[in-house]
Amino acid sequence: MTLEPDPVLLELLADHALEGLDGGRRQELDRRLSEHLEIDAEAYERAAAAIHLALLSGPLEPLPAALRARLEGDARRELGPGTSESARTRPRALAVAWTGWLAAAALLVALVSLSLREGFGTGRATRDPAGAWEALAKTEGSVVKPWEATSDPLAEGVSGEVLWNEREQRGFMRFIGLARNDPSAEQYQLWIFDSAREAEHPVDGGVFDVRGNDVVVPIEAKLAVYDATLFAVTLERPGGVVVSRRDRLLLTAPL
Amino acid sequence: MYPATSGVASAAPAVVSRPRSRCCVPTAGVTTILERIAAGDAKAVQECLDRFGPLVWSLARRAVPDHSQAEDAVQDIFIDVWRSARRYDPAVASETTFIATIARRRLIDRRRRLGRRLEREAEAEELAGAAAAEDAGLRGVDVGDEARVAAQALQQLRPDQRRVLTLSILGGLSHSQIASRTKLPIGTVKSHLRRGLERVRELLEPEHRRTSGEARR
Repeated sequence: MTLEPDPVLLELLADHALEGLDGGRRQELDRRLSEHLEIDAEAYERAAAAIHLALLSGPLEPLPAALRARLEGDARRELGPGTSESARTRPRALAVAWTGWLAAAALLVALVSLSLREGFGTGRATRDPAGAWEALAKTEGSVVKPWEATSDPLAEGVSGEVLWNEREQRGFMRFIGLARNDPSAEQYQLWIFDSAREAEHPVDGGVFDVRGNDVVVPIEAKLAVYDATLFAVTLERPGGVVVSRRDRLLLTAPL
Repeated sequence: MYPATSGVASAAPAVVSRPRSRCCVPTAGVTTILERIAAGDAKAVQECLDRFGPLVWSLARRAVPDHSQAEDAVQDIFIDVWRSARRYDPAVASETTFIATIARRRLIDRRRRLGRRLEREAEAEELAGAAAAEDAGLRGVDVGDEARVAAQALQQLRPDQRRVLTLSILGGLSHSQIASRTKLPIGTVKSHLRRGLERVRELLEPEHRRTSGEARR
């Protein structure tokens, strides 16, 4: 049986393959395709891709390492546990999983030692914290979540938010009413739970001090964070700890 | 409707029929990377990034000059690849062409959103592209049988037809921009583009029927 081509449909398919269609023409293409089920809607796109490959010249550029890490994180999220070797635990389960940290202590010693050599725990100040916060907040992919205070007396009346951008791998914490600490006696420490990592191994988000009533502290994640699910602040001994005993869990911010 | 053009096999486009189903092609023995991804094979993700990451990144870098936006574009493309892996049919296209098709679609979407076109790049690439068509493709990557067929098809076109296709596909210029650049009537530009696409599509169909069977042996 001979099929008569619909010239308008063919024109729409060609334009779609070459330069895309605006909303109205796209709807028209979909309508006409629904009337011509025999048509392979992607044939011209494949032809254009083959021509594009034929026309490209020169050597290929390797994928940047940081981009590749993000792509692997995306794959884990999109394709599920079958393509991830890590548990995909959600925030509530993650909070419970803190009891397993002691078992992970030995595995983290090397990482923390390395971090200490690189200035871990300094809680570096930002020259213009409000400006830095505002700039990052406007960046595509940024999320802001409020802190939730635990029953620890030190957390009473504390508020604020955490700002995180996974693509940028940067973020800030804002605390209002968090008590000033004596760095020689104790320091605050951030932990970032990542569904792409085992729940027992949250990413160390850095040790920091509080010296005002309303402060902004940059997050200093020591490892790549692929899919943050929970931020948690503990009070620890000076310099921070490898594994938190969780006896001074102050604030959490589930994403 | 379609002006007579030398070097083109048919005066009117054939019906763009649906591809043959996988049942018609030998499929035993070899499983593709995309089929393994669809089956949840974590190692296949790494292989996919090893094999196609540089190609996708290079396509994005040429289409999106800003480095961070190019990275975003590559993320969009591979998210689409992961989601589309189960749709992949080796009887219809090679993995290279399948992924390049997704990459082009996402890059065209992004270009339309940003309202930018790459005229200067088109100029720079035009000659390089024509030369590349003669030696069939990129250095350092197997662009696949379909790209070689496309290169052969481009060689059968007249220079003005080839130029129009290059400006559109490689440079991302609109029909009207190509008409302005080449001094050709816009109707001629459109017919050159459609004829070029149709010619490559015609040649790809038997090519893929042949090579998809060979690839699985």
